[in-house]
Amino acid sequence: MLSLTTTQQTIIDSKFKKVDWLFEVEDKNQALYHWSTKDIPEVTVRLSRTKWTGIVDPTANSISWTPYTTWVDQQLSYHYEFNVTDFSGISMYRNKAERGLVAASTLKFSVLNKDSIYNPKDFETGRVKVSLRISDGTNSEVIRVWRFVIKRTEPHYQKFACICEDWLQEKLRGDYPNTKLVRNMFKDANITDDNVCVPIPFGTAYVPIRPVYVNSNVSVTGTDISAVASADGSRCLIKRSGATDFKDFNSLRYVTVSGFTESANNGTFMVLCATGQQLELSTSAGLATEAEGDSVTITQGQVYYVLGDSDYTYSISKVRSPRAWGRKSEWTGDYNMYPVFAADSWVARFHQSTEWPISIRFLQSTITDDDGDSFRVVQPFIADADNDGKNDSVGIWVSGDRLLDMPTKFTRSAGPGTNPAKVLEWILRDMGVSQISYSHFATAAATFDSWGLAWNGALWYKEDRKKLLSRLLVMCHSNLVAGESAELWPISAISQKTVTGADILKQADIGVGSFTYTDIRTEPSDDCGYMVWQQDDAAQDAFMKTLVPAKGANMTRYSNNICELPWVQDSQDALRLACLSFQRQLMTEATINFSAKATCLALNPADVITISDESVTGHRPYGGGTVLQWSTSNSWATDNQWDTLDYDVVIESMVINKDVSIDFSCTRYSCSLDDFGTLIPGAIAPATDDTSSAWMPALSGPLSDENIVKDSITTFKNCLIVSPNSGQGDASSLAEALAALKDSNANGICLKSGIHVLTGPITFPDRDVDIYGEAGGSVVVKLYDDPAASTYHFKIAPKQGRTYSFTDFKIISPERTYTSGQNNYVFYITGGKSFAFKNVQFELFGKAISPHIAWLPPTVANGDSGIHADFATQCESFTVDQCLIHGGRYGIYLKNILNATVTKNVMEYNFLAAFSCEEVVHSSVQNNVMAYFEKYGLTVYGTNTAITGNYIESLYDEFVEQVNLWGIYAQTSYGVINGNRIKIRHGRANDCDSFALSAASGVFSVQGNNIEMYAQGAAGKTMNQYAIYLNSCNDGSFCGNNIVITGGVITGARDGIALVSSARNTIDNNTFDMGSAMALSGYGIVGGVGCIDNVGEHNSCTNCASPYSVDVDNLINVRDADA
Amino acid sequence: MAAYEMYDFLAKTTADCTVRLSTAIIPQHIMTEIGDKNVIIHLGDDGSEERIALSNDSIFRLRLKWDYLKEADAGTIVNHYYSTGLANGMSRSWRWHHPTDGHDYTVRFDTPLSRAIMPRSADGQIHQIAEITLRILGQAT
Repeated sequence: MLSLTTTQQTIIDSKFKKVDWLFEVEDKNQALYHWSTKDIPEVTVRLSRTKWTGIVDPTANSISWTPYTTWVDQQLSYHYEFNVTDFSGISMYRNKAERGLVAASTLKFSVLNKDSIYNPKDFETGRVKVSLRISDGTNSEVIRVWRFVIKRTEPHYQKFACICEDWLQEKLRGDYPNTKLVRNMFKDANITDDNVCVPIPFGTAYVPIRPVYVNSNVSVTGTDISAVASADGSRCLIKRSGATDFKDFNSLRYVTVSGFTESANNGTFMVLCATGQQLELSTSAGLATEAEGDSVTITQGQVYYVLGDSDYTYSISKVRSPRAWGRKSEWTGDYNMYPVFAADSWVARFHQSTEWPISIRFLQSTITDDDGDSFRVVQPFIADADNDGKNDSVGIWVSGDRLLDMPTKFTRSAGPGTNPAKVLEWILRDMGVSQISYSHFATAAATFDSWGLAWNGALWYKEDRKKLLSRLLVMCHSNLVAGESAELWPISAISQKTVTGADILKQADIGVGSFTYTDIRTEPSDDCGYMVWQQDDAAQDAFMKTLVPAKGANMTRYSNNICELPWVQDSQDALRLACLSFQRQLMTEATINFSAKATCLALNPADVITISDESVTGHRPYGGGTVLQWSTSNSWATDNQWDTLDYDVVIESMVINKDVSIDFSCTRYSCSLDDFGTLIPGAIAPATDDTSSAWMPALSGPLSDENIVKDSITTFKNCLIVSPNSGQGDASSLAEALAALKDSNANGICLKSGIHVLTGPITFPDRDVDIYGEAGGSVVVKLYDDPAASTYHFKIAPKQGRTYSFTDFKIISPERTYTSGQNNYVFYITGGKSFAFKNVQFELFGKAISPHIAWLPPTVANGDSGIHADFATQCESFTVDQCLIHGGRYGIYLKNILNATVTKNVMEYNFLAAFSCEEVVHSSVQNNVMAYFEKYGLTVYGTNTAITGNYIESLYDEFVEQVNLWGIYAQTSYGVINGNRIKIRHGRANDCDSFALSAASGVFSVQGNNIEMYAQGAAGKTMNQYAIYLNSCNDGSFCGNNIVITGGVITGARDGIALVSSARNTIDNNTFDMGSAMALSGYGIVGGVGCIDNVGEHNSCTNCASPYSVDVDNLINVRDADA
Repeated sequence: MAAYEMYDFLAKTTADCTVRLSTAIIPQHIMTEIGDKNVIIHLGDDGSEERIALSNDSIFRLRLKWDYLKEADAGTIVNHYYSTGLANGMSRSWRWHHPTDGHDYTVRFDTPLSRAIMPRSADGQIHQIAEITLRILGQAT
């Protein structure tokens, strides 16, 4: 209802009114005409084209609504010429927002065009301002003003009709928001063809934002770029020496490289890890090492999520996986770097510094599209692709060949806030509505504040403006009136006027009046509907549907009536709004039509008025008291509102005729209408679904610590992650992870970089286990110290049929004091089907092998064993590959194995034995280094043995007595011992024997070995030295070996190849050097007791007493002349 | 109270046609003056009323009639009515001298022109102009 002054109210209450209709018509050429339905010589009016000052053009980006300024009023006098005919009045309609309608006020009149002095086309799109001025004979006031736009003109007979609609309608045509469709940003991007546009958030929005792929967006060119080939399994690298801009490349995306001389270095490669000056590519990328110098260009296309216009700043608090992706996973961001830091500075720090927390996630930047428009975008670093503890990969979800939108919770700077009036005002401005009644919007804003109503949401797809405006009006239970300016009116159920028989017109003294009553009830009619809303902190691209009664608690009849409230997150407010909307939508009872006097001129469509019957004595001409209760079973049965003669209706339309009579069309409802403030619904608290162990899709792609991955680990992921750093893994200790394996489908346990300290023995569950260190990381497992007893750190009890593997980590024994008899085992294995150790390093505690390990005690006889496997039931396979066992008592001890493979290991400073095995059916010991042992280098007891390519060296200078030293000892049915290099130094020893290679009880092929021996003995002490010592070896071949034996031994044997009880062996092409300072007789080949039918030829001997020595029990058949 | 004529309630208005109809042609019957105001009465269901004045201007019309006219006089009227440079029917206003109050008014024809021709008499043909209405637009200037 209009707010009238006292004078205005006096005028419309007067029984006499003089009416002037004043038309200000502006054609499209800005020619202004003052016309009326009669000639009016002089009228003083307010300037029609009033302007705002201090308001920035709303089409500009930098919209600023404050400070508000007053109207620029100018009083001008005009002569209103008689030029308007066929004017029948002005039609006004209620916005039926609950039905998605924003109705237009309409106007039609004709303009006299004698002699065709006007071109009617000039008036199309022209403006019309109509003022209704009324005088009561004393005062004259403009009571109402409307503004219209001329939609079209229809010329005829020297006049033309102007068909007009209110000025707001032209602003409500088309789609909104005005922002660009994301699919139009880049012509070469493959983006879903829909209406998703650059979003406009209000308050805190949580809506999907669209990804765009920007081709070759990151480009680096320089002559300081080099390539490094893979070596020994390392990753290929591209390096830059003069800049740190490689940080701009994304990991796990392709780069295109050009400009290298080596063709292998040009092409497309996947980046596994990007840092400031280095790109890590896969081992198989095939790069060739190439120094810098060429002008090399590297480009990469990247995916960005579009936040909005670049003139604003954005703050992102959370993102989540797209709903289409399945299981929900959210990532919060602890830091929003923009604009606090320069765009690139933090990136460098992120990659290159450890001071930044790993939770940095949302990298914002600005991109420019094909049209040159700039937009703020974000890349969510939500995945840790290389398990280095830092999120280094952008979250991208693909469905088919499209990237999915990512729901993002964010705010934008310089927004209108969360008050619906402010938001509506902003939107109307952005729609091009320049004339807004600030007093009305300010009043509405205060009302919304009193309601506690707030909006949080965003416009992120284009839709019809009227549909949008309808939804917004429903969301604030308001009506938008296009008067002289746009006015926002919160809807009230309070009656604005009681209409009586004194107001309702009749056409003649005798007869009925203009009142009509039409029943519009439908049977059955719905009494409830669904409100569509979303609670706080939930993405607003899908909504909850809650059934809401239109009145009271009745929800007995419903169809799919929907009330959309996407921005209202308070459930009580949402219930109120939905209830109020459904009352007007569903509870209609009758249509009331009547004509009234101008005394009703202040009313507006959407106003509630009261129809009173009581003014007509003895009659009820207006239907009061006649309405049936719509349901006899509802709570309104006792409501006596129907017993009165008065009832409320809502004005649907008003036609203000030329003679200021008013034709009303109203709706009567079957219930009393509520107000926002009178409804007190209970809050809705949606339950949190804690369902777990549900089926989930198999995952691939970058790992993450977040929920979806954590959950999937327990069912699908191939490993559990153990991190010594809190919050970075699935478990904080290896023991915890092993215990958790029982709940997992996986066997893997990934140890993240850091020091994992054991606090007790590790026992293994009855299942396969695969423990490995983080790729490229530094993983250390520190054993615990229990000096009171011998300990078994990794104890694997008999589990038949299980397989175990251990890869890529380092084990360190604590430094401690040994007690007598204490022998600790790092791995103590007594059962299992298959074992594999690869790249496991052992730093073991044990006796020092002077002078090489200073920190070890020099005299104790006990210490750690690296791998001790003694199977009660034969193990099928045992592999040790590329391991380092440093220190300790034993390196590796294996027993009762079908196939044992020990390759490329380094076993050093194992003071008792480097490698020993027993009861091994097939053993392959190849290319190992066994150094600085005190007693045994390599000992094999088995059936089929291959010992090839090993480097075996003892450098034992400790004073010792009666301790023999073996480089290789093999007692096996069939043995191949080829190509080994064996160096045996036995210094400061008394009565000790040295054996570089000792074989027994089998058929051997010993060829191509290089053997060096040195011994130093005290005077009078016997120090026997045997390079190759054969005992009970028959039918073998001992050829091509090169043997050098030196030393200060005074007493004892010094034999190149010594045979005991061995027959039918072939000994050819060996060379022997017994040293220049030989004080005793050395022989190349010595036959001992029980030897027969051994043959040799082409053997050579230097500094020997003789190449061959044959005693009475031996027979050596010398077949060549050099013997 | 002084005598009032239409002249007292009309504003000056310039006629489209400055030619005045001959003053010799005097209406031969009672000249009826019809006056009105543009007012609408709204009648309420309770019998109350609301009076709406759409204009304060006075609306005057005069009814004239000639039963016997010479052919020449009738021709003058007919010529005045039909000539495009004169009244051109109802489309143009013209100056008319009121035969009794002595004022000149700007008027226009407000009805069709109907002429009857009698048999020839000694004075020639007798012409009759049926009742016509003049809309008084204002004082002639």
